Amino acid sequence: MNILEELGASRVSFKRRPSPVPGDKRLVWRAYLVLLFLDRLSRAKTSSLMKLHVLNWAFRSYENQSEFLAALEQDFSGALIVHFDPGLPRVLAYLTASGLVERNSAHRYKLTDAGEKFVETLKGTQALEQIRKTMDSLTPNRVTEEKLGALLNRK
Amino acid sequence: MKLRLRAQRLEIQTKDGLYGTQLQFAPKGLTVIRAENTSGKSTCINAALYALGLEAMLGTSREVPLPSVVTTRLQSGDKQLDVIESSVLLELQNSKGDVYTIKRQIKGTKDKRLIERFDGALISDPGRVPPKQSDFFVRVPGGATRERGFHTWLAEYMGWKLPEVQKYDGETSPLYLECIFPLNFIEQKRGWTGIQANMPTQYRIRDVRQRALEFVLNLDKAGLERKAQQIKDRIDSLKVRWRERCAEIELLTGRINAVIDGLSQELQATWPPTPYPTVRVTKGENWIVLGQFRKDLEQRLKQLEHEEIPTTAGIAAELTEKLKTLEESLYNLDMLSRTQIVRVEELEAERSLLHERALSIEEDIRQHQDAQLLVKYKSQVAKSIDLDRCPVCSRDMDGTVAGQASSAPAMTIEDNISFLQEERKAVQVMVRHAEKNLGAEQKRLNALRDGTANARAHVRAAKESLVEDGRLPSSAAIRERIEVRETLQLVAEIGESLDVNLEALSELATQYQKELAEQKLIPKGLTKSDTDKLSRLGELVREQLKLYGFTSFKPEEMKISPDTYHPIVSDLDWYFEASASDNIRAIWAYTLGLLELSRAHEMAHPGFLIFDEPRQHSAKGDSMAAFLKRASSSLNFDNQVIIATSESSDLLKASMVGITGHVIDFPAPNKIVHKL
Repeated sequence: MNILEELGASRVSFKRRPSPVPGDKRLVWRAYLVLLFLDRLSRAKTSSLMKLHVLNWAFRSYENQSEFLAALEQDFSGALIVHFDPGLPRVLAYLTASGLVERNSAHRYKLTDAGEKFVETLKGTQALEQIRKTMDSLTPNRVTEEKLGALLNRK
Repeated sequence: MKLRLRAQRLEIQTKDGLYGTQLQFAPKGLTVIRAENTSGKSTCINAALYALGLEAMLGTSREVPLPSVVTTRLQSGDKQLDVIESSVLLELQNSKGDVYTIKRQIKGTKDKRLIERFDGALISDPGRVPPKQSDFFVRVPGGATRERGFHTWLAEYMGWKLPEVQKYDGETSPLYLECIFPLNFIEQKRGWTGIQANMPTQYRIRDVRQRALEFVLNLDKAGLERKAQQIKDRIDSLKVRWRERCAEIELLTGRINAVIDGLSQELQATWPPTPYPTVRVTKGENWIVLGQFRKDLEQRLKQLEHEEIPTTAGIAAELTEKLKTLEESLYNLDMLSRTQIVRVEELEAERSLLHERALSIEEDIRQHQDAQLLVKYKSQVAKSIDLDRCPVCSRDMDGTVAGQASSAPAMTIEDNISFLQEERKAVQVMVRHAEKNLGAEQKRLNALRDGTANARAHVRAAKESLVEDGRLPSSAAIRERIEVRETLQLVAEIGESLDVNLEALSELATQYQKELAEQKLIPKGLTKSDTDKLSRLGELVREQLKLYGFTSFKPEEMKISPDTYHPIVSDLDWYFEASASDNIRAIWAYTLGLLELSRAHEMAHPGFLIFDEPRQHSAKGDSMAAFLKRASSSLNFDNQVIIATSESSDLLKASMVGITGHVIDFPAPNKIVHKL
């Protein structure tokens, strides 16, 4: 006897149910995050992919954030283990295609004028408030390409 | 009539002598002050507000909100005169007939927060010297509650008891006078932009307009809501006391490493709970009920007291045997402690895992809430940017970074948030459960440790006994007697304290039950008398709107909202729809309507109204005449209506035909502020 019959089921149907997605995997959340990196933490609104990867890791969770900030404060002695997220190039591709970000001749990502206007709408809103506060406490000078590079290579 | 303004005097000292003005208001009925524009009408009205310490209605600035004529420089003919010193005086009378004159300096060296109060009519009858003087303060913390606060005195003088109202931060504050008087002073600049437009917002009082109207209309609802709030406050305090008792019980049981079951940490209305809370003590591997534990101890003590204390020699054999058992039990206890340590560690790990999970859910929720907001903002600025579709190939991106890698479609952000909230609920329950378990197991570990130490002491005592002089009483036997007695005493004490605390909980439960019953009795919303008052107010407003030629809507459509107590037209905010002059008419009708309503109902209306330049936006002359006529009826009801206008003398005369009223005219080129 078939096990389904044994269970008394005459017909079995399967339905695809939507599944939950972690908040940091939401495209809109990540897209704004990357725009904020370029807007607030980059000189001339331009960043290398490497820097974006580090920032992307640093701001994805509070845990990473505090680890990152501690490292910047120099009281972090171990090596920084940065997780390179394959989702980031996807977000960048999306932003580039939407015309909010462009890639310049040095293969760096730059916020376009449209991108700048876009991210400006966050002013005075509650969205990403805590993250923006943290960003404001840093300045582009404190998270230069060199400095982040040094953090990664620290032994 | 709660407050009557008898007279006002403005004094401005210049090097050319004293300038200013003196206005004598009709004791009841209509007073019209007519003068050209820029001749000082609004200065007078605003100075009256300032004299009463109500300048918060004119703005949040700490500076004196009065024009330069009283603060810096005044123009007299073609002369420019510097203001050396200036003050405003206001003569007041209350319903009992007590007359006082208040004086506040505008420019000068005195503290601007000072208001001097003189007994008697200093303006109308200046001969009486020297009048008795008292000093009061405004715009200081406690200005409406402290004895020396001017508003404390003013409220009492008017026979008002200011209600406590809720602020946005959850605190309470008195309903300040500045929040009530926008219904009585319609000031020129902001006053005509809406009903209660001069409402100061810096006090952060929740729904301040409704609170002010509830007070003035003397609605039952406000009192009932206050009563409900008081009950809620009392329940909150019961909750705190319940938790304190629970904490005390926890402390007590902790002293003998016992746990209590069946006791809710949250306030309960039913007592005793079933099953009744039981206290259990660990004994080796088992938990036993406190009562049983005590009985066992008592029995053992009785038994010991019956026996004579044996000598060491007499019980040597027995002692040797006992030592063996003791050593065995010591070993067992030691083993149990070790396993218990592992158990506690496991539970601790479980708890910290759950904590971590709870935190990450929190973060996930926050990120989703951010995402939700961001989608909203994005749609406001860039409709063309689509998050669900790839901008190049239009492939479905599902709004996630993962793209189509995952097998099932992604939940919508909203669904995801509610999904996470459900999960959070579950995790919270698990955390609570884990904490409770951990607490019990920790106590058990403590009990095992105490037991091990105890057994060790017993072994030592037995060993010592065996090597003692055989004729002496056994020290092990003595030790046991002392120990049993001490433990019994401790258990008895704890038992008694527990009973006291449980009794207190039962008392709290009874009180809670009573409060809940009382809470149920309070009717929600407006009472019959409240609705009667509001519908009568609606009638008065409609009646006047017809008289004043209101055309934006049919006046019949207007009624008073049971929520805001403002006029509404079929649940709409009509204000933006109506013409500018009709808005003015509605403000006339509403403020005058409140005054008229107070004639027939017990209300907290001060009994006077002051309108500065009601002829805004050129409401037609005939509607102005109708308004003046209606306002003049206050003569018959001991009410006072003061109107300042720049209408031409002739037109005003025409409007006042057949109307009884006191007109103070300053025909051009005369100014209100002049040399005294």
